[in-house]
Amino acid sequence: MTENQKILQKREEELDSDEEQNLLQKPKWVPISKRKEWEDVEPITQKDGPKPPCVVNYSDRYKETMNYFRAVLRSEEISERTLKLSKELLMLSPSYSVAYEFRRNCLFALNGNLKNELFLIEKLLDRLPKNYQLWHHRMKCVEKLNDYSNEMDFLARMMLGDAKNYHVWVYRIWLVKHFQLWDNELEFIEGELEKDHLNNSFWNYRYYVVTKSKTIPLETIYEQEFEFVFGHITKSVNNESPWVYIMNFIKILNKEQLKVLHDKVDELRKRHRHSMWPLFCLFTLYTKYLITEENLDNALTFAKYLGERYDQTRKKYWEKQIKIVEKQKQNL
Amino acid sequence: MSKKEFNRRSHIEYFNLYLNMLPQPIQSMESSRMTILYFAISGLDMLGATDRIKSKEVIEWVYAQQIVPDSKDENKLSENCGFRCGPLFGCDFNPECSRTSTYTYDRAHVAMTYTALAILKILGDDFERIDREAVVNATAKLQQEDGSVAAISGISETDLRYMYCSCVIYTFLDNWGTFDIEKAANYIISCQSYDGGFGLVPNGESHGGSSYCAIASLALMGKLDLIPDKDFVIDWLLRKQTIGFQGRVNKPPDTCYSFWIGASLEILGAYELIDYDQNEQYIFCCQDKLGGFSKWSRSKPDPLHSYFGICGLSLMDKFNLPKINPLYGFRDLTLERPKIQEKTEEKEKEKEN
Repeated sequence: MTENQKILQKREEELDSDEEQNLLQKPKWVPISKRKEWEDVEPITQKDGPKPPCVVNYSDRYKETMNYFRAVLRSEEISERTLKLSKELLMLSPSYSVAYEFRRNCLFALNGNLKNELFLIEKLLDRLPKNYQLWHHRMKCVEKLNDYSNEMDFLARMMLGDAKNYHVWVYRIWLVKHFQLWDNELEFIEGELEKDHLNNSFWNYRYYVVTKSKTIPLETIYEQEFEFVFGHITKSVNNESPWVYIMNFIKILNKEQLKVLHDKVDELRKRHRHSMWPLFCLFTLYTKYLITEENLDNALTFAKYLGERYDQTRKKYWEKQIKIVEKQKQNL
Repeated sequence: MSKKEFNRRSHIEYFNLYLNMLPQPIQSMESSRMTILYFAISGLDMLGATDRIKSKEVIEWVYAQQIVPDSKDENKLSENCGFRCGPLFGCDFNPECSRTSTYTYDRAHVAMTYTALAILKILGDDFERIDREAVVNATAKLQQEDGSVAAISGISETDLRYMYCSCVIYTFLDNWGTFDIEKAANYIISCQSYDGGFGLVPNGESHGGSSYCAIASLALMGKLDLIPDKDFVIDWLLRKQTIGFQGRVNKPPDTCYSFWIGASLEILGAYELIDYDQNEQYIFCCQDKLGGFSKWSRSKPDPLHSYFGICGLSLMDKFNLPKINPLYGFRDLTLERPKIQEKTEEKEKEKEN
């Protein structure tokens, strides 16, 4: 091993291993081979071959728990002891997909307490908030329980940890649709946006709620969304979220609505001369919806400002747009 | 680090560590062991360090993870076929892939099948021991009613990541079987958000990773034209660059998105519109002295971000890194390797010292 590799290995070993250290409840572990209730079971070892790559450096506890769990998966035994073992296993290996299905099979067959299971899942999610299998397991348990009464509070707690946790929103989207819980959601998301209008997950969720998963036509909700969005934009003109949100509606606007939108955005452009968003929005309106020669000239000016000053990261993009609009002008 | 220096040697050592072992604190990552092995192998391959890989041994081990049809009844649990993450289930080591017994809970995982095939390809294996029909049929069974794809047979999450994995599998095996391409493509389109990007599931927030999976899958299916307005998607992708690339609006940049967003742009033919310097600057501030890349500067590296950091640099045609195939996420095997000017790099190092 080179010096570098020795240092690397030492550093990897110092890694904060939440999954093992913090999850293990009992300080004194009784090896399964020493437990009377497992006497009759022959553990199954892993066969990694003579020269395996990426060799896993197992702890004794992990190895033994897996050896017994392998025997259980092979026999497919559903019992209290295998239910208990599945919990031990999942505390050590919380991403082992098939183990969750096995555990559910035991829980459902033995009429296990699913409310307690939700408790356990939340405890694990506390340490591993982005574990896909845990979120899916919860979904399946709640589905079986057919009881969502704890879920909103649970989600509120998860949001305290990270309000942008993607899993939180995927789960909420599922929960609301599955149990038809639309009624309070608009109030909920407006409250969240009041607290943090920069959270794009909030904006995305609002869209889901107001369109009721894309079943309500945009025309119906436009006026209400226009008021709401510009209420936020005036507070923070550089926030991308409300801009891309409202720009999605442009395609369904009539002439009058386009004019109102245009005037509003132009007013913001004059008030916030260094912001890219009013310019970007006007550029889109002028080149796609309000096409006149004068407007195309303005669009060219804005594209120039954006590429040179207000959106320099996309300099090459704006240079390309300028060429496109110049051609558009020629073809008028 | 004030001077941008690509620490090829250190990165080689970093991946070599994972090629050989998975440290105890992350032993539970063995449920993704095949993908970690893939990052190590493909990482070393990208760095021109394949001499570190004992190809024959790796190939044997990968094949031993294949679940083949039951020796007595090939329809029994045929939905389980494909590749495991590792020998977790406890079957005998079977690199010849001879048919034995299938078991209810011994299941392939679509991401492991994808990375297993990728490893074999990179190491020059000819897929001789792959039971192509079994793998294709089992993978096709992962497709749900709504067109989405699950990770494993039975009850499992479905999201665009698995859609992508399955599309690559069909492409590698040159056989789409009974996979319903129309349904799948429509499902992908239904994941597009109001701002142009794609969420992980329908109604999900637009996200760099799922956008890549959506775009690459459609491209592999030959259905990119189903995207109603490609410019709208390109706009979303380009706006994800702050310095490096962010995965979602109003989030900080993260190394791996230099690949997810970058490769998406490459597939859509708009990569050259990004700001190369800023992207490079960001990736380098995530380069670790001891090797590897982290997601943010001053955080610890991990195999995933290290691998995609290198892929991110390769997209820019820099540091003599071979060109990646943006659809597969590893080196374009049809092209000749660039010559690594190791001596030049060493001379420049000496000059600075």
